[in-house]
Amino acid sequence: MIEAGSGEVNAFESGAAAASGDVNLRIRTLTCLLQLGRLIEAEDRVDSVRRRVPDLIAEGLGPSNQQGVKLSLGGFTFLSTWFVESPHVVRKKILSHQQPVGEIEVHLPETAGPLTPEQWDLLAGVAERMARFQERKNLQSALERSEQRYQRLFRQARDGIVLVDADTALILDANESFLDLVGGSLDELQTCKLWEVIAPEDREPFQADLERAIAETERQWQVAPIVATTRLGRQIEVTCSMLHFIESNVLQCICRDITERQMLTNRIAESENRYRAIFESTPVAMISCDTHGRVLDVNASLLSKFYGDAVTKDALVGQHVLELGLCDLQGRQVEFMQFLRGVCVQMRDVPILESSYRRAGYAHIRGIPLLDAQNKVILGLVIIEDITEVREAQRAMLQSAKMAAVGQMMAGFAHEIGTPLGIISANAQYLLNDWQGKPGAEELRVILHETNRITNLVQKLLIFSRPAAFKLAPASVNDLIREIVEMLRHQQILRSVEIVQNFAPDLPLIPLDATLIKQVFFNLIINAGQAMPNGGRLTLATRLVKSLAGGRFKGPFIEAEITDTGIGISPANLRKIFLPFFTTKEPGKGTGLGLSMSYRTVQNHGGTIVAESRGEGCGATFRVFLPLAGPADQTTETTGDWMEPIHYRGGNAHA
Amino acid sequence: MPDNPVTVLVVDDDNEMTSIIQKVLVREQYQVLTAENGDEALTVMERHPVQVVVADWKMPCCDGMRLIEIARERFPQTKVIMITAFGEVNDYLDAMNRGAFEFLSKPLSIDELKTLVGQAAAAARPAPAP
Repeated sequence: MIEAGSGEVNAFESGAAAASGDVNLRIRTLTCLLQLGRLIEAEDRVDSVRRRVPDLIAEGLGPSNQQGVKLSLGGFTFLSTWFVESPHVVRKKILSHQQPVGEIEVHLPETAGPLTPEQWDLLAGVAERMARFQERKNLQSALERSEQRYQRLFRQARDGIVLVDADTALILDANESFLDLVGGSLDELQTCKLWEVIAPEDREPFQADLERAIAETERQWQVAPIVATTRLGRQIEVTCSMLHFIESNVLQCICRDITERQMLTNRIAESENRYRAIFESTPVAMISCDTHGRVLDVNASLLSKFYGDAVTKDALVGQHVLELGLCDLQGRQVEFMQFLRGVCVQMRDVPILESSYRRAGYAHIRGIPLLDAQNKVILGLVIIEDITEVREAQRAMLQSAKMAAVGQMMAGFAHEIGTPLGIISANAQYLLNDWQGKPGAEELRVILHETNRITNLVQKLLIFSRPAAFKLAPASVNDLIREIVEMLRHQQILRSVEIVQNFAPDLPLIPLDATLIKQVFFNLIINAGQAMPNGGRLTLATRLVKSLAGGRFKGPFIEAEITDTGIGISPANLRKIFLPFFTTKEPGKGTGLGLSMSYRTVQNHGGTIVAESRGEGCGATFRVFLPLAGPADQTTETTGDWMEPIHYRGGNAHA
Repeated sequence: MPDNPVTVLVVDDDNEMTSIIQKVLVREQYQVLTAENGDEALTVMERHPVQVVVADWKMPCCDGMRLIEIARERFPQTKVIMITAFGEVNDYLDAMNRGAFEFLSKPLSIDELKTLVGQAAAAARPAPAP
């Protein structure tokens, strides 16, 4: 490490010169180096060592051949007591890590010869020792500075810092911040093990965590933080690292007060839970998505309404909102996605697409952007309000209002026609009495007959327009349908039709007027048969259903489904299908009263009929819903045959 | 025509209906009076003893219901047969509760009219002593 200056290499490295040196000089050299060694050992202060070195060198070299010694080291210059500047100078560089850090100059009398190898040895020895000394001192002061810095850091740190004996867990030192966290004085703490400053309930797990952390510091410098509550009730996050010393290992624990942070975290978690609860429990289907429209979350209502709970949230997360294919936006996709540009978008009465999980329907959908303080979209919310049931209920209500209006109109109409018809009929009867067997009697009978036909029709209209009373008795819907099927099975109309019966077993008996309900099924099955002139499949099914749309009808119900694969019903006709006199049959083939009377009958039983068809050519389904409880407002005491004119004939009524 | 014919009052706001009922009953040997509404019927009944009334249920002014009530009070011996629209069960029950003798449903059957008026006349006029 120490090398001779470039000018002196040859002399210094000449072994022959060293061997042939003057013995006194060698002794002086050794004495000098010995004294230097002692000086370095004894003196702690750098300056006092460096100050004395030039004299030591001068003594070592011997007084005869020098005028003075100059030592330049660490930015300072020191001269020997006797120093005369001379042009005849020899220099020895002091090298530390091969870098010059100082120099020894020996000023020789102009008459003096070159230095002997012993003298060079002396200079080299001093240079080496001074280099080491300087290095050590540099290191020492660096250490001191580092120690001071650490101390400052340690004392002033906002985090609590505690030093713990890794073997005994006894606290060695702690800063003020740590005292604030755990209470007590440093003296008291220095008799404690670290876990003794932790709240009693946390102590045991903390001790275990700490022991694990100590073990882990063997493998890694820093280990995962431990969270605990101090005996003062502050929540701290403890980060441990091991400081290895020669005699012992010290665990340095930095304790960060996270009480506030934890409170904030808890508050955020609470708020998150609150909003999650709202999100999850709202009956409206919701999707949250990122700014690219990718699904981040969906709520329980969406899963149940659109997927029948058969699909999990995870399967939907990450897909694009439009990819879910819930609603038919009818080419307005781009318009809808504007909500991710910061505009609230609302679309009403959007068709819900039929899927393997749900039936078709209608929804109001809204796209709502969530903005940050700078009005930048950070999140999108899609709200799908399923209004299928509302629409159905409204439609049913409208239908029923229409029926009531038509009924009223018909009652008036029937009355107006009924009176003149009655007069014609009475007069015809009167005349026929006189004309029996005379010419014209036959024509009169035709008049009477045709008048009666009109009268019958008017009577039916009156039945239709008037709330009918009927005889209720517990009956099996399955049996009623079976009876009709048996009756019609071999008729021309169902001859080429495959009949599938799919009845739920063990359906309860429900109070109904069997004659009337049979008439309803008769009408529906005949209609289905007529819809399949070239054959097809007629499916008859029953099942129990809990409730119906809109709550207007009180369940549970027995649902009877009559499905054909026939010509279907166009949407326009579907709307009018229960209206009186509405018929798609050829003139003369139907009165257009069958379905409306069936509708009326079922409605009078507290139920309803729903007609569905996917359009012309796609078959049709009629669902009859009959409540288990029977009609709510019907009295069973009133008797009278609904289909027959109520015609009092007895004479005992006032008896 | 018997010495003491039964008098039937036909009350209907429809003249054609009144007329045909009148024709039928006259041929059956009844003395027939007519009125257009309940008020007029009561006036007639005050002037002539009437055994049977055949009245429409629905009439302007005084309708069949009021007619029955007043007739029962003032002419308890008179039998009232109500005619009403087809299948009006409530009207039927109402009329019978108020004391109507019988009930005729439209469209009118002439045979039935004859039978019921016969029964009412028999009830109104005590059977001749044996």
